[in-house]
Amino acid sequence: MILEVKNLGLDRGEEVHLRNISFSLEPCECLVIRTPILLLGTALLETLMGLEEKVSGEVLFGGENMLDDMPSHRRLSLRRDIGYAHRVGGLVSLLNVRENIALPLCYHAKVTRGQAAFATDEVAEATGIRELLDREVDELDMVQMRLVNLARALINRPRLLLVDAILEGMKDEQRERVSSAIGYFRGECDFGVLMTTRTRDLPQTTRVLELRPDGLCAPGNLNDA
Amino acid sequence: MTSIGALGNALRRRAKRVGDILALLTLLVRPRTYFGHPARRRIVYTVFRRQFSDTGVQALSVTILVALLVGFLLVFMLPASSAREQLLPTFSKLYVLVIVREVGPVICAMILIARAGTAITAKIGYLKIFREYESMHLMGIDPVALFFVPIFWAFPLAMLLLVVYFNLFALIAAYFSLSPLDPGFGARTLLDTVIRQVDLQDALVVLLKCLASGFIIGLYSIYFGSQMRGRLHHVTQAMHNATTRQFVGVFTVNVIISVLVFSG
Repeated sequence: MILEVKNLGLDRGEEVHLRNISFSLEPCECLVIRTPILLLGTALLETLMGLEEKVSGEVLFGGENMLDDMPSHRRLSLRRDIGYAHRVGGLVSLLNVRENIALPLCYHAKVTRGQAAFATDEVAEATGIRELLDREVDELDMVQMRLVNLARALINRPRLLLVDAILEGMKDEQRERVSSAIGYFRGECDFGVLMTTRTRDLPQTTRVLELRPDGLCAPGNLNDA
Repeated sequence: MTSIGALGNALRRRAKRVGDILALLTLLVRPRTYFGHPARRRIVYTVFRRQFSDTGVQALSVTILVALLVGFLLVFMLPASSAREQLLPTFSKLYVLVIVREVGPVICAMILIARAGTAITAKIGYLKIFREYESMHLMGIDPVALFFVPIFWAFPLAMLLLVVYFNLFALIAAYFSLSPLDPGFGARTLLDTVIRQVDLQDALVVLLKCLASGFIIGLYSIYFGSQMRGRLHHVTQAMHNATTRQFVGVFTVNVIISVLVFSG
């Protein structure tokens, strides 16, 4: 099991945003969490990564609870094995697209300039953004930003890929490109995928759950949540 | 009681801010282990190179323009009664006293604040507002080590570059302004006379002022940029706060250094 979530709850003050979230994710599994409100999906993924403060429950990744107090270098080291594709923003505007994609690889691994360039070209080719590599971040549109986010999430060969509704607003051709890029890299390193979405699933989806403010349930049983 | 409480709150906030700024300074100047990690070093170098270019190199044109005007002004303000043979020594003393020691570092710091300090405050604010800061944490990346440190160190080095150019171009302007008054001297004579006026103490004071001003500008820009919380109008507020404190800090440090060194 890559990820196990037990009774996760998030309280943002005025209202409880997430409650009683429990699920697990196996290697090679592609779990899609549908949500009517995209922000709720974003909140869930950020809570899993330990970015929220008023959180209850457990998020076990690599045998460690991501929500526990731990030294920051340990937390940063755990996050190294997780790829995160943002729906909005997320790219570092101080760097161009090529540097953004190579950033996690160059930060975490002692790669040479050539190795970094090769890995960047490979992932850019797979996600169909090769022509964007030398652009600045502020020259990209929303969909291009999501594709660059995905490329950056994949370059480190993560054990877990978190995808925040990046398929929304994409054309069919771009969705196919995303799906084939994820398929290509999964064939190589068998990571688990957890994706939030409102309307669009991946063809690789193995399981679908519905997210509501009051819980997580199987699709079609929303009233039971 | 209310006013005492308000005063207490204000003091507490101020003390917290000073503590935060000192903590940030500690993080920024702490030795890093880039040299054992070539790939990280490349990212740091890329950010530093861009920042140095934005901060120092692109500010050269405005610095040169201001230096030429100041150099011309200095010659214009020479006492009209100066005898021809006293022109060069009088100018040299005035040049070192006014331009090299005092005006050069202050004007360059003003240019740096206006040209780069505000830009960095806004850039770092956008990192926060557009969740780029969080995205770095999500990738297991320490943004302070990778981005803030090279940005911080670019400021004092850019200050040094600007001050060198400022002094040089003020001297060039002075040469062309003095030439009609005393056609007998050459650029070499002027340079020799000025260099004889500058001692090691002057050089060290200018170096100290450049480094101190650069650190103050960089530190406040990064601090106020990183304090922003989620809303775009906070950017202008942060720029205003940073700029005010940078001006006050730079003036204060320059005055203190001059008083301590030259008062005797």
